[in-house]
Amino acid sequence: MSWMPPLFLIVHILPNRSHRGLRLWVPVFLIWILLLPFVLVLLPVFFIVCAAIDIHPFRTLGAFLHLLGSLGGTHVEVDSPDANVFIHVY
Amino acid sequence: MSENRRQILEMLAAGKITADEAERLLAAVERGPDTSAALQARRNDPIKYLRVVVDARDGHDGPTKVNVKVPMQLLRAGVKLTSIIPPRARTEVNAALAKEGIDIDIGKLTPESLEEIVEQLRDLTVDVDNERAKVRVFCE
Repeated sequence: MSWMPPLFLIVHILPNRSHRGLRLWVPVFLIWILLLPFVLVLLPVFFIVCAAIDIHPFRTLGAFLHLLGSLGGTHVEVDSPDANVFIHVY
Repeated sequence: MSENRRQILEMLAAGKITADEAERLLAAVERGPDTSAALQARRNDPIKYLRVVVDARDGHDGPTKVNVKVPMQLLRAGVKLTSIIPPRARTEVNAALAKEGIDIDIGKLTPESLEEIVEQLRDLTVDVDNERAKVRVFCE
């Protein structure tokens, strides 16, 4: 079981099979670092909402972290006459 | 003649198995124990990905190919989300599933039963092949 969220995302969008297009190498770990303060601030609100709708807050956090950690290795590749899209999560 | 071949032929002669079954058994014997060992080794490997491969030949401008690889961990994590469903909603979900003929209690999904479900997916292969597209869904 991996609790490590995705660190990098590679996105290639090449319209009409041309060499020009969008080639992104996204350091997703920077997004997690930026989001961390907001998560900490919103954590009490999250606990209150969990108590209100009768769900276990720690189990919920664990399930979402597990979901996030499982995204690594996801690969989507579409090669059509209009565009060539490649997404890979590391 | 090996003992296995003799037994198969004896069963065929005695009418215990059909000619087709005998042929399959003989083929399996010929493949030998190495193949079954390799098969067993493959079975011991955990399933890592659910693959969806689409090869559409419908487009006017050319073919479209789709290749999607979903980690099985994501499926496991998704099923794990059922454990956080509030009890009241869980009852409603169970009732809705039962109405559709799926008699399971999502609150009782344990990691072991989840592994059993994932293990059953090992043999899952969906092949759709028509003149417009070829779709293949399988686990690897």
